[in-house]
Amino acid sequence: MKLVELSAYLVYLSTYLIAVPILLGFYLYRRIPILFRILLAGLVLVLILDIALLFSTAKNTFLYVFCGVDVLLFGWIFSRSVSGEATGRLILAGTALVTLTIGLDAFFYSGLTANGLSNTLARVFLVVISVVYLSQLIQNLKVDNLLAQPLLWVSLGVLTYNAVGMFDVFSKPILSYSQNLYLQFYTVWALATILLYVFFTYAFWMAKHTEEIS
Amino acid sequence: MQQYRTRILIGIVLGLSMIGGAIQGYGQGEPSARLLSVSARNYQQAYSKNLVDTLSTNPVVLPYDQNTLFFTFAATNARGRQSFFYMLNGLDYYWLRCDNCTQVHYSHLDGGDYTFLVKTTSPGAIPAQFSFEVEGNIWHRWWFVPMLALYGLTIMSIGGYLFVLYRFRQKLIEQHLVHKARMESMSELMSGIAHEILNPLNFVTNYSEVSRELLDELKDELPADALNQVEDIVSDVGDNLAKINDHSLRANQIVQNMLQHSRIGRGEMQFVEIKTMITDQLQESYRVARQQDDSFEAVLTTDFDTSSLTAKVLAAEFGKVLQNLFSNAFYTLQEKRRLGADDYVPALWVSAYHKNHVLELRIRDNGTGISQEVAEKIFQPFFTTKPTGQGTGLGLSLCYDIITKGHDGKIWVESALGEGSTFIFQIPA
Repeated sequence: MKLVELSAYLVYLSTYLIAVPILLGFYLYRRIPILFRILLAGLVLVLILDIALLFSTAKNTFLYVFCGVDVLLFGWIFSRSVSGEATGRLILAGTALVTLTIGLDAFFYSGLTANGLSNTLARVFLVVISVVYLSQLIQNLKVDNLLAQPLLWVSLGVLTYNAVGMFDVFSKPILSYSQNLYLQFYTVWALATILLYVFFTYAFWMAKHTEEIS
Repeated sequence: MQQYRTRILIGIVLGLSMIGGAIQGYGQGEPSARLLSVSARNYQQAYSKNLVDTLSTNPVVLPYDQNTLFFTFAATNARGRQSFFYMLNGLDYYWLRCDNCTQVHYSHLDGGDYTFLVKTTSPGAIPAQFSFEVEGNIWHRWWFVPMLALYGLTIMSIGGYLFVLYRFRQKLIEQHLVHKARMESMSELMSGIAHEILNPLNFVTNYSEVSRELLDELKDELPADALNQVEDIVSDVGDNLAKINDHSLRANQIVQNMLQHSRIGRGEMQFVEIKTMITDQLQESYRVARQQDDSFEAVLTTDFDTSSLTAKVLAAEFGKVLQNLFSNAFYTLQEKRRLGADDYVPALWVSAYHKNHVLELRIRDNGTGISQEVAEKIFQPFFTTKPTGQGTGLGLSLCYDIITKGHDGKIWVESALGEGSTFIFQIPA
């Protein structure tokens, strides 16, 4: 199998693997807390965008929408999950700022052509907030079984995916340099995406034991 | 690359005067040669030639892998093959000569800006020129390696940071487990000692009571004369026996408290309405505190979950926990009131919430607070900060055992010396 075929196969697999956490999420819908219902809604939206992307010619526009959805979804989830009201508000403010910047980049700076700036900014922001949440969770000794915490898996998935995705900032020069290197990067990214959806699936499974915070 | 090195060497041998001539050749006027075409391609793709627009006003930018270029030229005012000087600024250091040629090519050009110049060999000839840029190998771009290093460092730092946090967590958990084991062994030891002490203590209590009764009988039996002679002694013995009895009863109470540690968990779990239980215990403890000091008043605030707060608990023991925590809180409020400023208003806040199958209760006071050192030992049996006779040091250790052993929960304290304390406990609900 050639690298181009392998990477294409993995990219397709990773894109539509999102259906697995979505199906599990719907199956457990009544037993998962509201935070995970929102995550489910976000994943459904991403799947709809993925399908719409197949029939659209304005692919670059979709990239900005993906970025915005990612930031809004996880910004909201982590702002609700971190301990400390100030930290939560800070994350919400950051979410608003990053979303605004993506909008400005889309319409006034890069003009819906290539979302390099928006993409990098969104990924850095998501990495930061997932690290903030993870560090709080690890330091919380009242949590007995760390691995049974559903949001641990969500944040680990977000961290891994976006940390790999941050490398996308080099995609343009890499593409000029070597198509092979670019395909290798896409293969790694596809693997990170697969890992993300596996983590989300496990998080939904674990979330069925968790009741909504009243 | 070897061919370019060779050209440089030839240049040195032929003499540098040509460079001077080339520089003089730059100027206004019609070039002596013209570029007919420039094509660029990948060195390995022999048949795919990309023709570059030589008339383009925009800078010509070639991808990294399109770095083999062919320049075709001719003299402006002559036909056929001629002799030319040419050079590629950015690579060549001198003019190169080609006789009877119309094309030259350069391969493996590295990233950078270049200008190709070509002119006839006539003295004072003006060269034609063509500028272009080859997008460099990213490794050669100044920003790439630092950015890559920064990226790698960021990822490694995040991983390292989370790993260190995790290891730190593991260490703390180990410490907690050691502490828990120590508390458990102390409880067991205490229960063992209590069992052993209880029997002799019962003898002391009972025989002191019997002896007092015998003493009373002795008083009745003795003739009045004899009684007058020994009355003082009998009275002293009676007082001593009363003290022995009082203190043995107190010791008995302490031993009973100690024994409660071993009895935790033996009762029946039952569903109770926590809000009612808290309110009742709070009012009762407040009443007791006010009985001890009429002038004592405190602001009591409760904050309960809006939903039902029913939980399955060992009712009597859970009540004991609330009673101990509330009485301790009122004690510390009274202490601070005695020491504190005139504008000090004693206050106690109690909140109870359901959170992810856990019932969490918080009892916060603005009393004297406790130091970190004391906080570490506060749940240990027989540890007390109260003056002798006012506390046995068993109340909080009993609370700890009731919550951890009896209800499989957690209890801890957050406090700042001089500002107050918050006792928090969680039980599965």
